[in-house]
Amino acid sequence: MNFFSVLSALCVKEVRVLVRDRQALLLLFAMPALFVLILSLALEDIYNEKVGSSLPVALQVEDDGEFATRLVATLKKRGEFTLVEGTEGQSPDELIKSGEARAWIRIPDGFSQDAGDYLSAHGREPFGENRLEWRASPQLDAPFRWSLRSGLSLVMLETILDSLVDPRGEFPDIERGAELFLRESGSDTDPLPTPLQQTVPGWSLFAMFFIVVPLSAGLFRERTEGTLTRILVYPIPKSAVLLSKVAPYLIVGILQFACMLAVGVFLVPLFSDMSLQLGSNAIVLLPITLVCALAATSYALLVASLAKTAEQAAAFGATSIIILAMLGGVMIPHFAMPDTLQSVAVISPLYWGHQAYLDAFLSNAALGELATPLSVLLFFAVGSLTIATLRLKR
Amino acid sequence: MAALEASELRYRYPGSTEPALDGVSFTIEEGQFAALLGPNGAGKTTLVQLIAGLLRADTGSLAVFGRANSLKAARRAIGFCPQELALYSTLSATENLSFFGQLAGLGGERLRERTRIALEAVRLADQADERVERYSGGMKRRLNLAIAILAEPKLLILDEPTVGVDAQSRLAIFEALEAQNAAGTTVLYTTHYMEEVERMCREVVVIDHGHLLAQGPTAEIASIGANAALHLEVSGAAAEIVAELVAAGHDARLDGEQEIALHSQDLAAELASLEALARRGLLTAFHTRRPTLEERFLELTGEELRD
Repeated sequence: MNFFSVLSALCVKEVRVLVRDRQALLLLFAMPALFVLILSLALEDIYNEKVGSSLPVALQVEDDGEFATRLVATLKKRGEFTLVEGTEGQSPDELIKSGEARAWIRIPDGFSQDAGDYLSAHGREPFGENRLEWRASPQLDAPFRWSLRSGLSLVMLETILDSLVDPRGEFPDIERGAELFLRESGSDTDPLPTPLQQTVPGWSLFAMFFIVVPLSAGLFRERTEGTLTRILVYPIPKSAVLLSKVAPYLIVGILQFACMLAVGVFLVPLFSDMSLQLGSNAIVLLPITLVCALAATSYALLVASLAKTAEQAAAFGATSIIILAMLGGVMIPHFAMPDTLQSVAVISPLYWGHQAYLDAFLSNAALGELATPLSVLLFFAVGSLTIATLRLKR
Repeated sequence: MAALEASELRYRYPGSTEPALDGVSFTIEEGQFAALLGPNGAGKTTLVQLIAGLLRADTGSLAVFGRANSLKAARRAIGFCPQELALYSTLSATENLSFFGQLAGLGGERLRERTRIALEAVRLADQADERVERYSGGMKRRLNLAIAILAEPKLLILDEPTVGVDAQSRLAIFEALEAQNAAGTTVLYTTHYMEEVERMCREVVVIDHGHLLAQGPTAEIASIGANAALHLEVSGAAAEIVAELVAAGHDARLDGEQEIALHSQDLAAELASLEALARRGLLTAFHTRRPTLEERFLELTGEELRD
């Protein structure tokens, strides 16, 4: 019997045993798919805040004077605000509580009168009692409060300017002014991942590395139940036995990634406006996934070979994966981590896998450009596999 | 031709000070049904693992049908039934057999045919497609055996194959093994149940503390050196009669309220004592008892507990 027939028999057995282990399948496929779905939706707001989305604001206008009308018109032009209108009788509090608005702006009756008086006095007299009033959701971060406050000040100044200057003049409004006088540097070269670009590869990697639990449990079961001993009685190469623990899980890793891609491309868009952007060089996702799956399987074998009991392997394996995933930017985006943690992240194989995927998604990286993360992962895989082989042979 | 030839086998586990096997030599002829006996810790499992190729002897040699057991051809001749239920519980019996059969080099129609025969031999043909996790303990034991006999091994090694099974499954296992042996398979059988050995095994190998203690035909091993026993039923005070017999130099002990066991190498010499007891009206009945293998085994290995 040749090597490949033996390997094929061992692999088929491995797949059959895995496929019939419902808990393992839930752990390897359903759990990460659910994480991708939930966390992508949860991260949508954080991402939008990072990239500077429009803030939904409820506007309550009680003044119908000229200045108030101009102010409302200026507010509507501003990109950082989206004016939301609640149903009739809905209070600002209710709008904020329902999440429809993140802030509330009130233009009180008499505001136009007080603004007119202020302008007539050339700003030498204080503004009257009827000032522009605003309130933000308690959940709104401090930077957004500052942004709201300065945005409203700019709107006021623009409205004042608008009232003072000759309408035939060529002075720009504030939004155009930003475009005329300012230029943002680096935004095109260092793009941020979308929530799906963050979570799909992140949780795929988490799922791939989580095979440490079923793989080590299966290996220990074979050792304690005597099936491994029985296998080793047959005159077959030991390398085939070890390889049969790797090959099926490489396929499982690819299936896991395909499953997470499907969630990102087809399922998440059903619940939000997001959709996974794969970049223009999506073919590199296959070698990335293969290398990541190899690293994950090798790590699982390493843990199984070092542990003394199945319980020890499962507990250490699961805990270590959670820690490596945290460090690797799976749970908290790498860009959101403090500098110290970002520099420690390089010890996690999940970090390198995640970076490879992000490079493919965001920079359309070719295979050659992924040499560093893929080499690190291959080195990790070979190292883990070597130690595992030496340990298991004993 | 010798099916199995062990010569001066020595093996010491890493980190252990005492050798598990210390110069064991024996031969099992082809077609033999032999028992490998020994108390816990005697070295049986080590010896079985050496024969199965799972361990390599530090010194000495082991040949299976004339070939070193490290050779593929020699190992292909071996069918191994471990003490553990070495089965994949989420697979069916057929799937288990198919998997192990492929490792043994079977395939295609031959594999299907051998699977059918093995399942019938252990009376599991009707439950062949059920998952093993739904099997009873006895069914699992029978499947454990079916895998061992699947590839028609010339030498079948069984490590306590009947542990924890009911009488019916045990009988099915005995019949399957006897059929295998009748078809020419050499069987090496490890067990703690002496009645199984007396029923099936024609040859016995006894080891303890890593040494060979005895080897030979089962009946011969059971009787060598063992004292025959006379069982007396008495009507008087049994304890006083025992004391009287012991004082007269007999090996006598109480064996019940009114029963006495009288051991002797020479039963004829005891008849005078029996006659004397009968005259005094103290002896109501007596019978002789053949020594058992278990008694001989205990005599060889001692009655000290082994943990």
